[in-house]
Amino acid sequence: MRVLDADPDWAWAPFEPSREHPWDRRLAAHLYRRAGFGASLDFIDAAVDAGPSAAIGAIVDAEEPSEFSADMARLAEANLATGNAQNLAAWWLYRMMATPAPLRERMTLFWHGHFATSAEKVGDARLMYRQNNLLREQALGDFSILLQEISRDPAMLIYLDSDSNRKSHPNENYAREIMELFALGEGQYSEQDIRELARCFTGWEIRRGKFRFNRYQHDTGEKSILGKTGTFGGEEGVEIVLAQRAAPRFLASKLIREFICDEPAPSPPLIEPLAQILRESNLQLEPVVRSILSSNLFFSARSVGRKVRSPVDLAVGLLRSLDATTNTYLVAESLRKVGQGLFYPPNVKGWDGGRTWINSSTLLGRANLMRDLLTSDKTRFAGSSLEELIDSQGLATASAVVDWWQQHLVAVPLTSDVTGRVMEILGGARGTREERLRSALLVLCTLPEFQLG
Amino acid sequence: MRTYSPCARAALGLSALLCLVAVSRADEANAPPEQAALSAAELLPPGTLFIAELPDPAATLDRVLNHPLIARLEALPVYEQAMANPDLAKLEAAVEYFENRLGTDWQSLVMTLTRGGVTLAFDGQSRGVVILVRSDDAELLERTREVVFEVGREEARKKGEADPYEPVEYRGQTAYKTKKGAIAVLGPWLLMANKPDLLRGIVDRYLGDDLESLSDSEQYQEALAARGPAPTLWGYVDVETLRDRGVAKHVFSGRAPHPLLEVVAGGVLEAIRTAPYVTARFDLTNDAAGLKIAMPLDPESIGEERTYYFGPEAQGHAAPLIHDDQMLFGVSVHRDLAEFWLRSGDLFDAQTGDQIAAMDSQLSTLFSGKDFGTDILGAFTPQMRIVAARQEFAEGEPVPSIKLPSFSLVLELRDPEQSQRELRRTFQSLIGFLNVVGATNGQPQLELDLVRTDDYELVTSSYIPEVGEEDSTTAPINVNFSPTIGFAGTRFVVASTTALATRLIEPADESIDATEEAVPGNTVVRVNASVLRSVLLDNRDQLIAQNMLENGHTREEAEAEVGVFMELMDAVGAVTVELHCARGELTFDLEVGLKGAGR
Repeated sequence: MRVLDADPDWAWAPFEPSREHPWDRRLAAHLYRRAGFGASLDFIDAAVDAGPSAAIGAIVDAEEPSEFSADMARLAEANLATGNAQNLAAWWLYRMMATPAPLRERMTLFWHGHFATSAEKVGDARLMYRQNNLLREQALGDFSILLQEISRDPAMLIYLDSDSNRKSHPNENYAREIMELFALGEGQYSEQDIRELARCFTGWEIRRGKFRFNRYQHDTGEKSILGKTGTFGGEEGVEIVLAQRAAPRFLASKLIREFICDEPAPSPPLIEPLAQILRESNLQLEPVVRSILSSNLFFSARSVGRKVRSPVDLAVGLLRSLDATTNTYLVAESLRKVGQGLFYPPNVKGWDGGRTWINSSTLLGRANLMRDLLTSDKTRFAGSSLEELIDSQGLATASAVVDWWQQHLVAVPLTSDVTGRVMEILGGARGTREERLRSALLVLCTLPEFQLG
Repeated sequence: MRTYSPCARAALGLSALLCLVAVSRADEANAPPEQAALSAAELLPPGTLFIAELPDPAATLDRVLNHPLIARLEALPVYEQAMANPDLAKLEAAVEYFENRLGTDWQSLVMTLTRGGVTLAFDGQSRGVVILVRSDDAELLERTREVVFEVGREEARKKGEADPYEPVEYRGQTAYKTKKGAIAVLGPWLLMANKPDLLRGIVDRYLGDDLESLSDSEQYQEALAARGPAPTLWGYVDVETLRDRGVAKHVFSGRAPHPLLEVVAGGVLEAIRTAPYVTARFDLTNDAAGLKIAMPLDPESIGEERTYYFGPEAQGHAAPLIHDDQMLFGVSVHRDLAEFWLRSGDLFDAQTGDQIAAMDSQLSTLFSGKDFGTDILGAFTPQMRIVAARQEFAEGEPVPSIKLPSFSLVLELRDPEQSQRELRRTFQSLIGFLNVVGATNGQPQLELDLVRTDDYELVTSSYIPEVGEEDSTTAPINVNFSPTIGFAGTRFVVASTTALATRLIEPADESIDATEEAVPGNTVVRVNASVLRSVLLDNRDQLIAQNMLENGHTREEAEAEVGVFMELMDAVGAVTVELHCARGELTFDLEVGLKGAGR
């Protein structure tokens, strides 16, 4: 089996630009794509000027102003009045496009896939919203707190049929998922560990959308989990899981897949330094994410353009990169059609990602998603038309336009055949200039090269 | 640079249209004097199926430009933004060019060129459309023609195209062929038609040939006689010919495709099945805009199956509208629903009839085996009223995030003694059913209560607030509802809230009748735009949120757009729709109240 292997010392050492490997627009754009959803060329140029260290620091340390958070909360509240989680997905997309702290939003999306919970089953948009807020709050925070909180999160427990856990019939669903999917990974526990951990969660209930501990239904007997024995409760059970050496390794492995490349899976020696950072920081997430984003491996050919863009990356990435806004209800609906409905992950494992984003039906769906975005009259670029955005950048020729797009929208170089096709549309006579620009951009966005990020 | 209001720009468009089609020499001296006085109907062929007349465009333009609503629109911030549109600047420059060349402002130009009225007609025989414009200044007409032709020819020359105005002679008259038809001037008339045959027929009539015209049609004469005082816009459609030719068969079949459509518009479908023509008039004043559509309806010709709609001998009329300070809209109709239900086999196709029969069986079960058509619907008189009102939420009560209006149906019982018990029991069963279903979905429960006074009785239900959420300001949507029924004498009220039911039942036969407005007619609907605006303002946060997500706007942009919408809403008063069946015709009246600046 192929593995992602590299000298760990080199891989996780901070990236230092050199003549052979300069810090330029291409790498800055890569940073913004992976650590957010893409950025306009103005941001990219500012990052190039600032240098990699300062640019990464600005991204990781970015915080949302309280006014922005309050405005988004108000927008969410107004949406929640409809009780429709699909409307909430539109709200989240709006937030992704507007946030001044895109890394936190990307990590929120990462945790949404990690702690997959679907509104389809939960059936309560407000519970989904509360979980979403929890994921955002701890997106770069303390994984121990995140796991403890998610273990008593009403949406999660309803989703896993664990909203009524009685001592006479301990529900093993959550105990299994916490070990297999959330913290340790397969092969790190036994069926007996699952049964014992499930006993710890007895008495944990959800009533009317709120967590409740029913002491009469809690199994107060002695349990043995992963080598520890005692009369553990739910919190202690989670602590035991988190204390396993496999936990930071499992987490580091998932973060490498998120930020470096979809495949192959990283080798154990490559994972270990990041696992060590997690252990030393008591499972704080920000230090390990900062290390990944600063590393040689992150800016190497093994990472740049080595991930298949998710539908959210495609849509939000394009919009953010071109300073665009649109009808997010329609985007939410289109995302659902191509398999990444926000608040509607397919199962408890979340989205598989990687190559699974692309198949014969989703490829057409992804093209339609781009078409929907670029043909919608609600899509505005910097509050105006694409033509005006292009003019404001002083791009006078078709080749200048294509170059400009290439530099911040595409992760891998385009061939001259491809750029020639796009320029042909730009220089054609069909439709207005705005229509030609949008058509050319659509062709660019449906290229195989554009599917990589 | 001068600026124009939106309406002025609309008028500018009309001006440009009239100028661009251009004219030939208006030589009234060559026209037979008696022919110059002919009306448009005297020039049009007898087969004219549709005619629309703007009898006094000058007055209409003047009214529009000086309407108080225009001042109100001009005061909006969005108006200034619209004025900054570069396309508008181009149009203004073009208008200035024409004004300078013709030595008159565009308003005067349009008024003079159209002083005698504008008519649009469609001839069924030639399938041609013609526009007839009557001017009163031949010299200005000629100068306008010269300037417009000059500009048109220059544009064509730049594009390397041929002369766009090719002169042709017909019986001594000059017409101009264009790409899309022909243009001619006959005395005071400017004619534009897309079919040469149609234009030639008009010329023949103008030159005195003894040809039949639309004005010879008795049907048209009858419609014209019923027109009344000069309208802003008037239209006539020869429905009989359309029907005979098999146009839109489903419309003229008299059948509604859906029961709801039948209840709402069955009477109109009945009338249009036999009406020879339909007329429409539009009137604009400073205070209102009104549309009246009329068609002859002989009560004798009404089918038996539509007695439920019009009443015996078409004498059925709605009860007066109920007045309520917070009324969003009110509806009052005459519909004998028991008869409608029992005659459904005659009104609908077999499939719909089967569906109604199945529903009848289910509803009879719900009402303890009573026959739904005869016993339940038959318990009410044909006069039905619906009231929707804005809700107000008291302090200390849960307030929902989305504030819905409350709704009520007000009916009169034929035999209160016999019906009240059954209705009360059914309501209680329904609430119990809702509680059982709600409980399985974790929904809050409704609590039943009974209020009895000397004058009335209310059976109320209300949601019990969650502990700790008694004064929540973001309560769920359920809080909008407290289903209630009430009895007072013959009156029966079923309402979505106890508050509205109480208001409608409390006055019983005293004060409420004093506030009822007497409006005879088959159907009356009134929408109170100011209350609608209040309802929307109650939900402003939701409107803004929707705008942000739907248009990708920032909060500031969304607030501005919603603000403009509210301003426009504020300019509208009450909207009233009435359907009358009297004096051998069926009339549909729509009136929209308008508020001027500063009101």
